Parts: sequence; C-alpha cells; structure tokens
Amino acid sequence: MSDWYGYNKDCAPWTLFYRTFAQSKGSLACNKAIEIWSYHTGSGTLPAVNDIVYTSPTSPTTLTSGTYGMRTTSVGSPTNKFVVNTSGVVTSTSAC
Amino acid sequence: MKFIDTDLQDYAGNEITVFKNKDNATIMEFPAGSWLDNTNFYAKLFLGKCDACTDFYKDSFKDFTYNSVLVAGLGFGLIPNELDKVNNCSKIDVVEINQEVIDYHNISKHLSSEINIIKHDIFEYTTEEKYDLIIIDIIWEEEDMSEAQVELLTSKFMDKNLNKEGVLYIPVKKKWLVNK
Repeated sequence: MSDWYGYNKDCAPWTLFYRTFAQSKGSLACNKAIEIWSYHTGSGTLPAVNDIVYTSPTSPTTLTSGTYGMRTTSVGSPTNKFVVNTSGVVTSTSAC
Repeated sequence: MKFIDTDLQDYAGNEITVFKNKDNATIMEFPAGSWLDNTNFYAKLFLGKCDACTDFYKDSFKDFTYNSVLVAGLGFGLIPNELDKVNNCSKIDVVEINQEVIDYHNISKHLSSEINIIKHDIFEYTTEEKYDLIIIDIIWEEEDMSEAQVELLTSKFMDKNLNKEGVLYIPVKKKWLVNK
C-alpha cells in the first residue's frame, strides 16, 4: 500500500478515549472537565508513552502539544494526564 | 481573571513569544515548548475558586484570609491580576527571574501599576517584607521542583517573611505550608 494514505493505512484498530482540551500545566489538565474524544495507537485503554494521539480514527491530525487530562469514559473528571509533543507523540503519562 | 486578549500585545523575543492562536486566545510560549495561555481557569484553580476541582485546591483556601501577597513567577500575570482586581489585596509583589517577561509587561502594560514587579531569582531573593501568602508559581509540573528546593524555600521564607498563620503555597506541588 502506498504511503500516500499517510495515516492508519493498515486500518489498525485505534483506541477511543476521552480527554480535556490542551492545558499548559498538569494541575490544570487534571481539574478540567472531559470535553472531547480522541484515538490513540497503543494497545492500552488510555494512551501510553510513544503512542500517537489523533483527533479522529480516520484523521491524520494529531493533537497539538500540551498537557491533557484523560479518562476511559466520557463522564467524570480526568483520572490521568498525558503530555504530547509537537508530533502528537505521548511523552509522559501519570495519574491525576 | 483573564485579560482581554486584544489588550495583550504580541511579542517576539529571544526567550518568549506571545501570539494569538487560531481561536484568538493569547499564548506565551517559552523555548522548551512550554507555554501559558490567557485563561480564567488558571487563577481560579490556583486561588481555590473552583468548586468542581480536586480537594487540595478547593479546601486549602477555606477559611483562609489574606491581604498581602508575594508571587514568584509572572507569566501573563493572571494570579496577580486576580489578587488585585478581584481580591483587592493591598500589597502584591511579584518576583520574576526572566527579564524578557518583565520587558513584555513593560511594553504590553496590561497589569495594574499597583503590582510591584521585582527582577530576581526567588531562590536567591531576600526581603524584609512580611506577607500573608507567598505563592510559588515557577514550575509546570510537580517533578520540576525537588523536595530539597521546597525545603529551601520553606526555610528561607517561613519564619522571616510570613505573618503568623501565613502560608507558603506551591500550587503545582500541592504544598500548603502554614507558619504556625
């Protein structure tokens, strides 16, 4: 398959999770409401280090760099936080 | 409280850049990729005015009153602005290590002149002033400050610069240290 597709070309099942919008600090991310869903390329229920986070399962758009709160369900406060770099790659995660 | 975004000037320097993002929110970006945004939530959370927030932030300020405040770390000045415009604190001093951040404020002029900005490293800053509250807001994440640095700040400010029952507060580290 050509690299022209660029993203999810193997139709790997990306994992749905829920997150906040980008925050400048982890403390802010953990205290914001969950507002939107995203998809990550890892095998866990939530993104882990080196996973890539996309805004939709068919979109080549990765998250903008920053710190985000996250959880597996859409209702409630973030259970964990993660940091993504400018390539959308998760560089760290930790509990809220 | 946040600033009106159009009151915040854009700025391109060697150490900080201030710009509007696609949503017209103002961002202050630092070289390592860390950034701050002009948002109401920042001061609300860190000054305990957020009912839905975690217990540490919500409960720490319960029954605590303060009037004189030293803030370490300026950024956009969201915390000093809240202390000035909303809390009506009588004394607000801010210690900022980065001259360019101070230069930006001198150009943008969005902070009240009642707020006294001092160029210094908080770890080396000494003063005879006494405060009800000292807020250390110089880090992005908990791991950015060691426990040894917390102890250094505590030993430096607790007895000398805090009034009785005054508090040394490091929000990102979730430290609320009362001068008993």
